[in-house]
Amino acid sequence: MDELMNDYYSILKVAPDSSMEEIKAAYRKLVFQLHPDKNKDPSALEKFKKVTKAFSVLSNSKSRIEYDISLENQYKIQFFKQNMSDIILKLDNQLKSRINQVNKKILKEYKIDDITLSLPFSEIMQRLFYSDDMDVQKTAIEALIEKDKKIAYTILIRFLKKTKNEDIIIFTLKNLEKNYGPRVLEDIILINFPDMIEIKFAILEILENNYNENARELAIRLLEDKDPQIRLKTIKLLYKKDKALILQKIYNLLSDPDKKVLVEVKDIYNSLKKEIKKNQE
Amino acid sequence: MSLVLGIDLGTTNSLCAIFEYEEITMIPNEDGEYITPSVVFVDSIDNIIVGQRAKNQKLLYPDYVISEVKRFIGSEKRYFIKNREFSPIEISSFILKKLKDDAEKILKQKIEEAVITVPAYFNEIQRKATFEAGKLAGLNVLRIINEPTASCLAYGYGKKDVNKLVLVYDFGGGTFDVSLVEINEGIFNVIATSGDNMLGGIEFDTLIANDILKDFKNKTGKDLKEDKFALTKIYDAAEKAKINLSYEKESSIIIPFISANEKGPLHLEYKITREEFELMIDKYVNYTIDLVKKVIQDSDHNISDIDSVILVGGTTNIPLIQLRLENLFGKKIEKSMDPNQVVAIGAAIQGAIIKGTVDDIILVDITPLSLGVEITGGLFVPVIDRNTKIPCENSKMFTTIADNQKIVEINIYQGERKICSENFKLGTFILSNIRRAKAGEPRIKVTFSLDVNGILTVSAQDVDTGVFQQITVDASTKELKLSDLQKIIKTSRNFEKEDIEFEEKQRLRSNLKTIKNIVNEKIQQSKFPLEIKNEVLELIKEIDLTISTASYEKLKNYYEALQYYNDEIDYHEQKYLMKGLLS
Repeated sequence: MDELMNDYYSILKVAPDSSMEEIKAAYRKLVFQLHPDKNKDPSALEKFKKVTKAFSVLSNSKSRIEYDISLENQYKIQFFKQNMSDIILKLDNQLKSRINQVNKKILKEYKIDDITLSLPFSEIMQRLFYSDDMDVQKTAIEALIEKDKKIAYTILIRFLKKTKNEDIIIFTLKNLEKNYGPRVLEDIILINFPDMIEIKFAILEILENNYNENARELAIRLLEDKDPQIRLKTIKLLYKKDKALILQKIYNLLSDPDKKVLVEVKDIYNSLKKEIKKNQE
Repeated sequence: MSLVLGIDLGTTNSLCAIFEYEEITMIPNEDGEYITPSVVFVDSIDNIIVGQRAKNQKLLYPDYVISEVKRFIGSEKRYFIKNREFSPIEISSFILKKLKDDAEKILKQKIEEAVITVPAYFNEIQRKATFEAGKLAGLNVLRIINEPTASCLAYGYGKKDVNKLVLVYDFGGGTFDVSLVEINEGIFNVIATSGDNMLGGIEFDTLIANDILKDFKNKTGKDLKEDKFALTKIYDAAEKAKINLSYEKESSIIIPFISANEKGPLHLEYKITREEFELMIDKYVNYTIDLVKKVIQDSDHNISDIDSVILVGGTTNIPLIQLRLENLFGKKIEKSMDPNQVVAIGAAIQGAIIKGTVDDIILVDITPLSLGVEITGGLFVPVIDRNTKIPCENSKMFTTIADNQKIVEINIYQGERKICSENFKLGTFILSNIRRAKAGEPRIKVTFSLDVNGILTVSAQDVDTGVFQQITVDASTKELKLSDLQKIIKTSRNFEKEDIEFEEKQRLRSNLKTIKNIVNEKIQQSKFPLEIKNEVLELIKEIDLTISTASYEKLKNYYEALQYYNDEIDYHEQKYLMKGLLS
């Protein structure tokens, strides 16, 4: 919680939705209280350093947006950590049926007309980010991609960071995969969401439903994920879908530092041995 | 109430001012002049003479007269006069002492405290050296402040409740600085700064002087380059011509009997028009305009956001500079204040702020150059980025590169280049007693802290054992090499491409080392045929020998070869594993 209490908005004593004028006014007040020319107290100096750092970030519109996004993620991770076991349980039990539903829905393509395409990005983005209607959101996703693939990508990544609706997460990921190639999922894991377990779980579900050469690449990455739960799930998936890969990696897997993973790997190793022997006979 | 002397210690001239009874007063020297040339003369009975009288001696005793010392402050340069040796700090202290003594005579009271200005683009060592010079002159230096910032204080003082974005274009005798300052109801926030410590009006004098020399040689066949007397005359005349050209369309120089040949005396006659002069300096003026644009870009602003432009320094009297700035900003440039006096006035105001006599203004300045440490391969990693508000503090985590490494040497640099050797080295210290661990495991936290004067303290701590060490960058223990002074120019020019290539090569080298170690370990354990094994070991040996000298292409070839072997070994092991499983 410490990091959250020390966020730049709290340091400047302003609300996160403050205007630039409000931020400047708050900074001005604090500088007059804390600057070494006004206040010789060493603790004031420490506070002053924090205030200038916070102000440097929040007084520049570009760095402020970046900070807002990272702050949002921090909150999300915090929230996720607190409720992790619940969410994982829920995901595990429900994701499968959901995926099937989504898979059916995804077959139904949202037809994008010229009028929708003539809307500016900001208008379509508003519908994606602020609508509560899933069909509106999904249409918006497809419209964005059709309008401009490149720009849509960054917007969708931003959207993924913001949304909490698992259906929409999966729909977005599916669309990303469809339009930008399977490597995109890899990028998302590595660059955009290195710490978001829920996204990785969703990606694994997608892999399971559609396992191919590209999925294999991604699975290799996930085998080395720092989270043992992800590794375990990936191993289980591969045992079902790609025994050859498991065989290839078995020696690495047998040195996994996590006990639970190791137990699973040993089981798999033994049954693989049996299978091979059986085949020989 | 004791007075604080605000001092503009310039390359060519120095001025001072005080703040008393709500008013700022310029303090003349004992000759009644506000401007004191920054020139020092050691006379026949070893007296130190400073100012106009020293400058006047330059013709007669060029060897005993020192000028432009500011360009060398903080460096290892030494002046030898009649078997005596002077450091730039000492020479500067003579100038400061003269200003202090004269002010005491005029004001009829003791002066013990001062605020001294420096170019915004001065580095740590130059700042610290200026501080030392003040101390030597018997002054308690309350603060070192940046010249453009001081000018901005002078400009904004008394204009209450102003919200403005101000660009300060400071082109003095020896340095060029540009700063962007946001004035927000009494707070002077410096946002970005840039500049060049080796570009000033002196450079323009030299351009004219060189042209005079060339012209004279063409006409008479005589080269005056080595003639100290003639050179002093020519430089003086060149400076006067430069100043004249700001007001006249043409300037002529006549120096009778500057030299002689076998036929008799030679006279120098030279003419220069404003156009000719502008053609000479055009490239330099463009360069300053580029720096102005860069500062605005750096700060995420547009040219149209700038509310006012302040001109500081004598060189800004040149019409071409004013014209270029007016073209850039699309408006008339304010010239309400004397560009020579604003810096000293600002220093006096800062003195009053520190004393509390002015309580509705605060200046929040920034650090002009990035500060950081060296990592593997001689690369520079900033810990505090340039344009960070001071005082400030920042930390970064580093680690070891070898197993069981016990000590870590931390080299501190300042500058904008990605290669350490191209930046200024500020100091080194060693953190010892690191716990025994594998390479990359220990966590070493390096903290940089800048105080309100911009003076740096660095500390390092082994997070796991708590071992802690700290140093302050000190001018008395560290001096800039003369070659370092040239780097000041380089830092502000464009070296990005070269830096990126260097960085790429270092990265490849370190990747190569990693894969080499992997392959080496694997091959030792593998059941590979002996001849292939030897082939690989041979290659590894070759790489070890040439890794630090090989070209980029060569390194790439090595890397690809090792990658190939690595895959081969894996494949081989795989087959072995399969066999094992099948048996």
